Amino acid sequence: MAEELYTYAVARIRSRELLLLNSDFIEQLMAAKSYEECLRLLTEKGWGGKGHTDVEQMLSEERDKAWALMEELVEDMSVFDILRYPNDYQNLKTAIKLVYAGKEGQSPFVRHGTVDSATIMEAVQSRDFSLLPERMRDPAGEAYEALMHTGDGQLCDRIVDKAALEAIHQAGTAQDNEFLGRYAEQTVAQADIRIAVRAWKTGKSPEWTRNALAACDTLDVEALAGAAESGLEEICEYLRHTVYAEGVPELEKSLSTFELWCDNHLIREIRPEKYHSFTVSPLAAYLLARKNEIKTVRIILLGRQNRLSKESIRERIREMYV
Amino acid sequence: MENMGVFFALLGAVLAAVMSGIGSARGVGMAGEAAAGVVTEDPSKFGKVLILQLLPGTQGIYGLLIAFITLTQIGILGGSSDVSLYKGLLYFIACLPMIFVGYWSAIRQARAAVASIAMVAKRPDQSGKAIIFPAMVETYAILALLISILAVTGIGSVNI
Amino acid sequence: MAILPMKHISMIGLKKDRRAVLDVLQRCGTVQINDINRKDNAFYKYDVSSEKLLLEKQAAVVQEALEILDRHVPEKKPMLNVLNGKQELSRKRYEKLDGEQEEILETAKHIRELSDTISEYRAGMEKLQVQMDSLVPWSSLDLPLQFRGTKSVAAFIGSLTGEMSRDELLASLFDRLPAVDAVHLEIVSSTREQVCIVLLCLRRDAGPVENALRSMGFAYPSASVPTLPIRQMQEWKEKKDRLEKARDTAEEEIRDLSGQRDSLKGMLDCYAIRKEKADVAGRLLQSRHAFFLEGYIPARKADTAAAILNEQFDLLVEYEDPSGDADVPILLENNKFAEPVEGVLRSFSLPGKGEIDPTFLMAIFYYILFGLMLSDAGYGLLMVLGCGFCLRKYKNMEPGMQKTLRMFFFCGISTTFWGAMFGSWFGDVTKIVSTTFFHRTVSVPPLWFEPVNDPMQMLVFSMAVGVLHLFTGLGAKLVQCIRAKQYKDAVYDVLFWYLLVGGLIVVLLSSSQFAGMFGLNFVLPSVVGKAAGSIAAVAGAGIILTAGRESRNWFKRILKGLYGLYNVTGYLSDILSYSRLLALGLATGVIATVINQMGAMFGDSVMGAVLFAVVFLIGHALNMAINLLGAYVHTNRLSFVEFFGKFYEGGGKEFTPFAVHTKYFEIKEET
Repeated sequence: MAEELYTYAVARIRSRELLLLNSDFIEQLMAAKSYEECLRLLTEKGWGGKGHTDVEQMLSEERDKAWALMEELVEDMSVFDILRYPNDYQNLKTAIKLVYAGKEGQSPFVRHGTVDSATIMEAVQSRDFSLLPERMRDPAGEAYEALMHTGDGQLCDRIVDKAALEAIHQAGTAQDNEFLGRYAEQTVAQADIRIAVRAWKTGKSPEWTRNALAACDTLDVEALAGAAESGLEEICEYLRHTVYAEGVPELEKSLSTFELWCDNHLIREIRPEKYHSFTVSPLAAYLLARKNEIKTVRIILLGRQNRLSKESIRERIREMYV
Repeated sequence: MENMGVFFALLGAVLAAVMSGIGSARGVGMAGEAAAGVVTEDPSKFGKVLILQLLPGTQGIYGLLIAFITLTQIGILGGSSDVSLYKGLLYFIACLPMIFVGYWSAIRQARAAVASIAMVAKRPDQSGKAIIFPAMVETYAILALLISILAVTGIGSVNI
Repeated sequence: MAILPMKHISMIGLKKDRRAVLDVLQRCGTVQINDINRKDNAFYKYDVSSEKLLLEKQAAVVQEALEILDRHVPEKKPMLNVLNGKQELSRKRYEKLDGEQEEILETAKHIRELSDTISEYRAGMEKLQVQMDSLVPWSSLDLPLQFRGTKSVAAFIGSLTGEMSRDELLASLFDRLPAVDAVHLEIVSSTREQVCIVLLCLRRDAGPVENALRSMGFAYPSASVPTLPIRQMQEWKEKKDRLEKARDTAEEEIRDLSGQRDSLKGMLDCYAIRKEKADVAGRLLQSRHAFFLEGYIPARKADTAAAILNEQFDLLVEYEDPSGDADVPILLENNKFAEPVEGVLRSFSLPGKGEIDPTFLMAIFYYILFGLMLSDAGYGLLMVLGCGFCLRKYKNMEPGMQKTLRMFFFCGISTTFWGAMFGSWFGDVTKIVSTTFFHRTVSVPPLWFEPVNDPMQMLVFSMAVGVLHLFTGLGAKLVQCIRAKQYKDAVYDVLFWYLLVGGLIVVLLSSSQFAGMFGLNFVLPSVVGKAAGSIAAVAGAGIILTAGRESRNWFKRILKGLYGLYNVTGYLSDILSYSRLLALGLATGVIATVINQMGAMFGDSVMGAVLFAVVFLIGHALNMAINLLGAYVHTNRLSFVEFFGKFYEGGGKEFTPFAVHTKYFEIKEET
């Protein structure tokens, strides 16, 4: 038994899974007569215990709850690095831009990364990137220089985003846990596909695309970049020969339906974790399920607030874990 | 060399107790972790998960049983301990089912118990069924126990 | 031993009577009300969600108040409180309580407020304590902390980290300030972590002195206090005392309110009752002037219920036999002997469509198997006495608890019986005690035989019990087939198997080799064996021909038939499974013996007797507990897997009548 056992934690997660939102509840939310009733239904489910009426605040509180539970259950949070890295790099981007614009601030940072956002801010401010973990140092320096010299925010984003994907990929290959490894691979590959499609849409040079794509095992980055130069047809054609062939029809419709497909695909992939009792994967699956339901609730609530039609909300609703 | 008979018989008896004991200890421990997890979230499920936790504990008792019967048979607990080498080896072999099956069935039963505990966490109304799954595994411990008992008690009357 | 026949009941009444009708129905507690999902123009459903929400909110307030009371004045609970059951509350008292709803809710809210203020006071006190602690090093200072000097003299009041004497301080100060000579230093207090100082110097030297101090790690105190520290501390102390007093008063008030506990509990029950009523009201259909409900009622109660309703209200009640495909809820009724195992049955599943209630059959074997597995007369007697005592003493016990105790009472009787048969009374306690302490061997002889000495006989007996159990299960299947008028199935699926398995057993019994192996003292004549063999062969052929009868294709049919015949191995493993009766029975007895021997190791002396008693008590308590669990689990297994496997699938829904379901009080109807 090479993997660490999480028997206690998984048993607790099993009980917690009872509180996850199921598709019936999502239907109920959709059927609710008013926005206020939606909020009431969520409060009955124990969402936003502190009585926030602000949606974003309530959702971020739910996110905090999920992470706080994990911190309680797992001693070494590094097993979730794959899920936490994106937040680090997000914060790095924010910090570099804040410094470039000469502002200071706390609020724009996201929580639950592996590095404290204040440390990132300090590192960028003092240009002392050795404060950061090793994997972030070079991209941070490069992105900082790029933004300062060229003022091109997209370039800065590209450098940091790529570094984030590479870090996820790296952590994924280093993982003992097969489930998290697979998740990392998928995350990177799907991000690459999105980048390629956007690059084609905005007419980026093949050079640019090649630099933006992060290497992964299930896609050939060179081929993808080449296809992105020629057009969406070519991208789809290339993808048909990969494991992502199933998503191609969605991609042909639009990028957002493809993203929906990615999310649903992920949820379907993690569902078997409901029946595993020992490894860390059910915990990771729980986190992903939480993330997914928070995203869905957000879509519904914002949709209701902005009086979107039910159909257009429904189109964007994700599948549920339970 | 004459005395080696007792040695092998005792070795068998002790290993039966030791291996089944280790198996049960690991098993009950594993199931206990899961049980604690469920009770943390919902203390009212204590009674239900406690039963499930204890299920892998019986192998240890079976091992003890075989050890004890063997000890009485070879006269270590009073009486003359006059066992030929051949008979001693027979006793050792008679203990083998309990030694191996006791250990492994406890571990496997514990895994089933952990899964059943998770089941009770989600569907407390199904706790009657949840008990059956680990109990299925126990059948094989019982069969091993049976063969060991029959063999150990039978050796005494073998004429060698 | 039966499933009660149900009637489908429907009624139409006037809307003005709705509340009262529901009230009567709830008090009768005999009708399960269905959720009607038909909708048309005239009838609609009443939205009860807001009413339910309000009730839940109010109940939550009362619940919280109760918890607060329990925290402040823990309720004294007698031992074995679970056995006491619910207190009785007369209908009149209940109605009075219902009327006082407003006041009780106010009390609950008041208790909650008090609890909130108490936590506020407590937080305030903690904060003051922290502030006071921070001033302790300055308590001997006779200047205000913020004092910065006069026109010509500058004062520096603050702390330096680390432990330093006055001389060391001065020396290091002068090192940094060669030009300054007039300073006055006083040490207010000094600990290992910090030194608190007052330093005076001439105003003109203030700048360099401050720089020097800072380089030494000087910091102004963080607390800003306008007055003298000692006075400030005094002030805070008084404030804290006032808070403490206020807290005590509030706590006292909560304690005084603990007399309201019963009202609060009663109120919670009221809310539960009302919530159930609201829930049911949401299942009805209503129009402008009428309401319509339907549901199920046990057939023999239908007449009385209809009479009661017709007498009080103008409504139309109809009841009829449920249609064939309706999902009729299941209510079991059994005699006192079988009733207790209903719970075990329920944890498996209630009888599905067309199945008989297996409780009685199950109960007989349940008690026998349990007794065989625990099989110690001492433990059995303890169970009988313990359960019997509780059943007699606590008449008012919850029905579920009572059933459980009754089940273990019967299991105890069976255990005592089998224990006596096998000669196990706390293992071999009489023999050990008599030889150790009285030097004479007195042992209780078994009424039948001792399994430890003759495990083969016990094994054969266990399997014989198993065959009987399995055949009873098959018999139940036969009854079910005949009831459903599926006579062919009765022959193919039951009779053939009886003949096959029974025939094979007789064949075995007629072989002398088998008899020798199992130490049987009889062998059936070989003619009987041959006859049984041919019967079994015919039955086997019959199974091959019929087990696959749903297939039209003969080739497939025979293949399936052969596979059906393969099930005979299933019977073999089922019968072997009963060997656990031997294993578990031996486990109890042998370990009990080990315990007795361990106890007797200390020899014949007063000390020895005391130690024996200790080992005896602890050891047997443990052994009994673990073997009770084992017997319970494996009796369930044999019933669920081997026995039910032959005829029972379950899948019925439980009858859940609309009734008064309370947590704290039993409301007693006045008749």
